[in-house]
Amino acid sequence: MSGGAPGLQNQREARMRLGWVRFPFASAIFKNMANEQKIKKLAPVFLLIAAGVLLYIGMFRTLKVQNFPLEKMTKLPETYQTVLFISEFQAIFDVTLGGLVKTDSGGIQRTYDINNKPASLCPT
Amino acid sequence: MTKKTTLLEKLRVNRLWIQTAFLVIWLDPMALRLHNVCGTVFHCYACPLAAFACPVGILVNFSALHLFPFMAIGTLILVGAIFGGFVCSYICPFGLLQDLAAKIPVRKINLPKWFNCTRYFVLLGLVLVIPFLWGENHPLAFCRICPAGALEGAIPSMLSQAASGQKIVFPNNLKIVVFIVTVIGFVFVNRFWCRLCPLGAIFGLFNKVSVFFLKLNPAACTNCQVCHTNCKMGLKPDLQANDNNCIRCLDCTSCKPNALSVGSVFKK
Repeated sequence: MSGGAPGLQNQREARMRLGWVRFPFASAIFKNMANEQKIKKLAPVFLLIAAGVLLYIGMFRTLKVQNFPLEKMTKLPETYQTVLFISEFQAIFDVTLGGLVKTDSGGIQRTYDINNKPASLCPT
Repeated sequence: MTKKTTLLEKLRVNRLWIQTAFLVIWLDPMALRLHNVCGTVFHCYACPLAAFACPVGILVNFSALHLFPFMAIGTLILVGAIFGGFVCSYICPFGLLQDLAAKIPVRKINLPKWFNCTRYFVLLGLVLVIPFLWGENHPLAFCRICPAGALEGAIPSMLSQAASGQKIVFPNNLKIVVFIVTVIGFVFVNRFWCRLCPLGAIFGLFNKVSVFFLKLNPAACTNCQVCHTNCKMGLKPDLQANDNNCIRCLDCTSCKPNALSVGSVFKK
């Protein structure tokens, strides 16, 4: 039986199991292996925090969209807003109706009619 | 220990009923039409009975609009980090359909393991890259060929057009072909669509780091290989308990020594 502290013995056993090869950063790798269990426990926590941050950003985000009606009109009513700021919830709702398209200029256009009703196009 | 095993057993035995209960939620019985909320399953929002927005559809459309889908990605990470592949086997309505089709008594074909990697190409190529570069109207953009869209959106739409005497608008040929191949695949291959599903690809990535995971007790394992024969995805759960392709149906936990069970990061 080999001597040394129990921790050292464990390390030796781990080296034997993995077919350990000597190189300068081996000790760092073994430290990482010892922390593997901690990482396995922490990873879901980090992911849940990341998900919370993304949802928080998404909830309060606004998107600028052009709001020209589907109908070709020479003059729009004065009250008609040609630029809208919509929430991501509304953007998700609009894409389920095929209601948002990318314009040639790189902007986003809402494809609603003059009465502010969606185009009712099947998105698929 | 006995109580835990019993719960696992109940989950596994009643899986079809759990899937059916969730199907009722996805089919929007209250007519709430919460299409501004990202769902967590593969269920097309073009379906007249869809409660939530399909996460894959959101990814495709937001990619086409060059927007980052914070809500969809946040929802997928939240659910994936807790449950991982459990979503595919216990919650997904398309999974239920596959499980029902698999009950047709025909000889099942085992696909090679590399075929399971196809879903990453579907996710990267058809869901993200093609819509980003060429827009959502590209014939290869995922929503244009999605079999769930064909089944839940296009077919009901065509039926309603036929019933009301309107001109029937057919989906594109590729969508019809993909749908037919998928339906045939349902019958002859266990969980055929799961091997191609971009949503399953996302949830599978969380299998190794989710709150709940499959736990192998090496001391109890007698190498009976019941888990190998029970696995519908053709995996070897005793060797790769939390593989990316695992849908966590828990069929592998039915071996007599109970070597495989469900663990949680919060339990020692």
